[in-house]
Amino acid sequence: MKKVTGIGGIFFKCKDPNKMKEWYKTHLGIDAGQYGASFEWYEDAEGKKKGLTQWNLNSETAKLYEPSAKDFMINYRVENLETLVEELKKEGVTIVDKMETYDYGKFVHILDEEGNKIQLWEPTD
Amino acid sequence: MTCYQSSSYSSKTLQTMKNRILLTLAFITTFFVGFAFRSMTAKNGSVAPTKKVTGIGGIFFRCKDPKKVREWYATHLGFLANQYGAVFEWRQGADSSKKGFTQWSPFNETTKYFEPSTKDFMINYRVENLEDLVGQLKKDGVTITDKIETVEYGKFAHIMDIEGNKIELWEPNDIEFEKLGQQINAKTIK
Repeated sequence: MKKVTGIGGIFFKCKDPNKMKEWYKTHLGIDAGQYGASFEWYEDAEGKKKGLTQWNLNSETAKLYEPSAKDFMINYRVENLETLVEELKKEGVTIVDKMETYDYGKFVHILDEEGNKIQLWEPTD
Repeated sequence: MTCYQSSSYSSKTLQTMKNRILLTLAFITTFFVGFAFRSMTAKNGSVAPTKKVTGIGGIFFRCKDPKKVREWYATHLGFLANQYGAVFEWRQGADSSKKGFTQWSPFNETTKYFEPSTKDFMINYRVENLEDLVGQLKKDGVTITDKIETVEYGKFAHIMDIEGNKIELWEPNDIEFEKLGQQINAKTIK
């Protein structure tokens, strides 16, 4: 069964997110606002279904990454998040929180076997 | 001496001085307004630069046991993993008839690939015109850690951001990249 279908985002910690965003904008043309920058692409060759990969920087004290001690977190796009979470629970995978639903999709966080926190996202693109 | 003179200024002299000061102030104001405007327009010029980064080309991270990590992601998250990690396939935002790829790879903790960065991860950014971009970055004083390397599937260069993260820049040749994947019989994640 198809589970992860793409990279939904890459987030990493830094000392000064504002200064860093300024640097990435000046030198690499990544124009990030408060929630970061979105790289847009398509799922299909016809260009009907848009997909996006979010890029954002967080402060070193961000709780978003906890309990992981790593300085980065990856967001993976998935299909049928509810079914997937049930399956992961059965497989003994650590689910960090409860699934949350927003306008732009459903989210849940899990840990991989080396303690990397993973954000799973079933998007409403 | 100066004090003496100032105390003996006539009202006419004072008026002349006031006028001079006003004139000087007007001049200074004009100068700064002009300067501010110039810097504003210069800023506007650099806000709409040529496209630099166009997408995420790869995410690499250190781990204790890359093989085990690849297996974990295959088992639990359905990754079609190969010996290098996994490849995500998508269609380009600027032209959906063209494919684009994002490489995902867990690396060994001892890898030298992220050096001189000491971080747990490295991001690969897809760019257009790598040679022009590297030339520009050099002028801007950005640290370039190596020379541009050209392989079948594109051009690569590595730079450092201001907080010591090593960045991989990739001007991809997606057609060749896909061929390479097919040669090792790797399946992409869509």
